[in-house]
Amino acid sequence: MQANYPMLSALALSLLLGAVVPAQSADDHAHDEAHSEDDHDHAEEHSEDDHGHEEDEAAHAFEAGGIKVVHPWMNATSTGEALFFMEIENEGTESVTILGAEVSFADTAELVGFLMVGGEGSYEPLPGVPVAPERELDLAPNALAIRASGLTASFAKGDTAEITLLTSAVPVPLTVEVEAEDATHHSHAGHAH
Amino acid sequence: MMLRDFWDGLPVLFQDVIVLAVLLSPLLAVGIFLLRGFAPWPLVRAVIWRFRWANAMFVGLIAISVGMGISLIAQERGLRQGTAAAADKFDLIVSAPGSEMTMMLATVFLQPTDVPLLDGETYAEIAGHENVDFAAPLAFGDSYDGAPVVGTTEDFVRHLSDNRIDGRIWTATFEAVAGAAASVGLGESFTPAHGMGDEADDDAHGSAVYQVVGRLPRTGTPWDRAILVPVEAVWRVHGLADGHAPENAGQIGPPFDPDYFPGTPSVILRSEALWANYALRSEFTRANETMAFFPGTVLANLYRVMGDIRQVMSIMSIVTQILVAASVLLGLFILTRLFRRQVAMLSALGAPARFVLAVVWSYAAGLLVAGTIAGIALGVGATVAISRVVTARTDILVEATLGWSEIHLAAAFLAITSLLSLLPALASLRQPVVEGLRA
Repeated sequence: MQANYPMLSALALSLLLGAVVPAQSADDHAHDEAHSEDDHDHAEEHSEDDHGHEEDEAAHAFEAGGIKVVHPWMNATSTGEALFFMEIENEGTESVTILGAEVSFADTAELVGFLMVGGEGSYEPLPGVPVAPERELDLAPNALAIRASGLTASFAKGDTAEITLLTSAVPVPLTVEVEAEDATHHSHAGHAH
Repeated sequence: MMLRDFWDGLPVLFQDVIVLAVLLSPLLAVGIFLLRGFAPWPLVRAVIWRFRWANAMFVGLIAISVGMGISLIAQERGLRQGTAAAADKFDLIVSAPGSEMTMMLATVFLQPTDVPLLDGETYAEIAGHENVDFAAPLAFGDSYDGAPVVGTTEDFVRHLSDNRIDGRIWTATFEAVAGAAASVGLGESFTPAHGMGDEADDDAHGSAVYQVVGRLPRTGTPWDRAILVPVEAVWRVHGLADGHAPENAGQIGPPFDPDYFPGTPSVILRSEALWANYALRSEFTRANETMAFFPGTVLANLYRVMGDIRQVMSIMSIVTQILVAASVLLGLFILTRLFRRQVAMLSALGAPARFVLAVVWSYAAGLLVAGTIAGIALGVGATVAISRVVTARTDILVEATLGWSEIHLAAAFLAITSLLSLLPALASLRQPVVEGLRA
């Protein structure tokens, strides 16, 4: 008496196969110290806020070569696939093309764009999206994202992951925050950074 | 993890068929176990015929319950696909900053609304961008016989209709191309009213007469009811500059002169490549100047909310079905009391318990199968009827189809109730034979 197909197929699947996806710990992706040049002003801004942070030194803005990335985040996942979202600002004087990302814990990572055809949405790979000087590019659900496939770890809410954003200018190392499985935005979205 | 990958790697149709088979397997297992070596059909037929009115009511009750659940899921999917298809031709919309939802309703679904305008400089910058194939300005405000008269450009009309115009595109300012459901035919002429609906003023544009020179094929969108005219015509009818300098008087379509551009509520952008659409969105997202959005994204965000609603509704329909299953069960207990005598007779004649069980269960399962199949038919029928009403009222083509999730829902209902119907069958066995014979 199920009315929901994904729930139904999951039920049938577990009945059939008795499969339980092993929940791996992502502890090994916790913070590293490589971000000494991160926006610490920002971290200080938030150090007194009560945002339920376990690590209040977690930075939300990353900068390299005139490219500023704010609020990188992803949904909790155990399916082997993840979408990374963030706000990218080009603070330089040249156009910069966002190409994708290097994700050490995944087989592939590519820039994808959302496309709606006949009522069903899907993400299609993109060759790269240019961002003009002083413009922003929003990577958000049902729009742009970086899709990583073949993840070697699972991620739970509160974890972090290290990835490197690839651009036509310089690579930008990021610490991605893991939000709830059904989150639609970064838990700090709406703040000005 | 590997099993999950294996499952995800299977074709979708195959997954659906497997889920159906798993759902129906309890029914088959019980059936095979009970009926092996027996032929209870003549008896079952006799029981069904003997109590035909009670049985018919039962089948009807099950059918309505299953039909409601099916119709809910199918209708939600039909609405989702219909509204998404209506937005298919609108890749990227640029407007003054504000609500994306309001602008989408105004532009894609032609709901009248008051919004700020983009000026000629901004339009020229958008239209002149290297990644833009065409940038169509829009002009709303007039109507004819309740249908909106929308000013735009030839490029957009060709894009909207996939270049399948019956007749021809306009070549003069006061020529029009009518949507498939518009109330003016090819060759007819009309005078637009100022405004829309009850507020429309029929006499405001007395001197303007449009000649319909083309007709669009059906697109399944609210644009079917619209009448499209050159944007210059709408501007001129309202006493505004027509987008072109005096030395270019009479020109139709782009390029427009920013100094003589009265403004547009939104610009429909078209770019061949998906990446270019996203680049344009980044380019024209500017605080306090312009807002750029994809109707597809706005709709997808809306469907996520609708998905939550669907889940709530699904739970309600599951509760309804549990109630129906409970009453079916209760009813079966009562029905088995009705033929208590016949069951006692069978036992007295020496029929094995499994045979008696097979007769009673086959009877119950027969009612359930008939009710479920009738329910599927009822659900599809209701969906078709509701879809027609929605399509007629909104011009959004909503198509009702029977999907796998509905079939799975019906199969799950059948599986659970047929297993539960073993209970009344077992209960009828436990009744003392002698009392039963006297009944």
